[in-house]
Amino acid sequence: MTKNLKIHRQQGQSAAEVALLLGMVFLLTLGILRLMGLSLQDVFCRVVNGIGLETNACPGDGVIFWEDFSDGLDGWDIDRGSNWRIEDGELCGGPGPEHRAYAVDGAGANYTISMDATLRSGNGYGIYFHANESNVNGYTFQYDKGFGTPGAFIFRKWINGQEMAPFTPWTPAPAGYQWYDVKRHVVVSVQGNSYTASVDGQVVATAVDNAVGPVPFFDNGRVGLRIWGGEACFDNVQITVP
Amino acid sequence: MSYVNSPKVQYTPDGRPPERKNWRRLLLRGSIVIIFVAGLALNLYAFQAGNLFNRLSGTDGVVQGVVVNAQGQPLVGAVVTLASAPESQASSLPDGSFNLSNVPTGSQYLIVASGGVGQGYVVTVQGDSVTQVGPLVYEAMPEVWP
Repeated sequence: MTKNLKIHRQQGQSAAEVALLLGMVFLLTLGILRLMGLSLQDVFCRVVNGIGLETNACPGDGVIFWEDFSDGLDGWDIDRGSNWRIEDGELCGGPGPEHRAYAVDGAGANYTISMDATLRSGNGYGIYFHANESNVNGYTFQYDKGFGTPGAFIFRKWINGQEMAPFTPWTPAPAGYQWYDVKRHVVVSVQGNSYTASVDGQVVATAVDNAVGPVPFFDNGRVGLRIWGGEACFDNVQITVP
Repeated sequence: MSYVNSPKVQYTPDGRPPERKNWRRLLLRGSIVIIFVAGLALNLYAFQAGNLFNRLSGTDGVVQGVVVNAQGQPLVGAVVTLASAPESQASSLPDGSFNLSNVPTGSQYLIVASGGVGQGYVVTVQGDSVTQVGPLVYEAMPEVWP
């Protein structure tokens, strides 16, 4: 017994054992979390959200993408246009020809996209959804100053990069609508083949794509932004799932 | 094993032991013959019909038609393509006519694009013959209009 105690008190042995033990517990915890489909960030965010906090790294429940552009353009794939930039904490694009950028995360079938958007000049901006490939197949909701007078709110389909004529009737904007330099809160809800867009809390366009073969229908994909013939800025882009 | 219980060789009337059938070899030989005959038939068919690749891929249809605007006037310079085969394209001529070749057969979604906006039409493309469509009336509003 005395001999055993002596061995147990040898210098350094206890610390090494404790470190090894902690390391194994850490690895075991990581393994269990992985099996449960969780990461350390998930656990951290659950704690953060649990005490009522939301950060860029830890958005709330159901949020699969959240971008306040505090870390630049990291969350975006720039597809077209050379004038994307961060300006006063917002993502701005244009002026110039077609500008397109896609969120790197948040692809799926059913989701709600929300953002603050400001059209500064030109024809309008669009929000891609269910979009795939660079030569895009998918849809846009368009805040479309350039479509007639006084402009319109339109859902459009894109096939092999070709913007198609509206597949449902578009909604003309109210007379005298202020298109420029007003930060609008835009929400696009995508549920299967049903799409709803609201601007500043007001539903401005709805659409259902009942396409059957051979007419293409796109049931999932990425979210993106589009500006054509003008300049626009975006902030607080959020994608949530039901 | 005693001599009495040992297996006996049975002989055929001509005095030779019977040949064992090698089923694996028979199957292999049969497969070779079938593949050879099928390949020969396919090549003969393709030679008779023309383009082997198009025959195999089912992209041997031809679509011809005319594109007109809402007023019935020929639409020149419109780009015509198919949703399922964007690599096949044609431009409408001054009389609005177009000829789109090497397109998949069957029910297809034909897209006519002008002024940056496309309009779709469902057409049925026949194989081994020219499919006439239209006139296709293009009524889509341009992306930007006053």
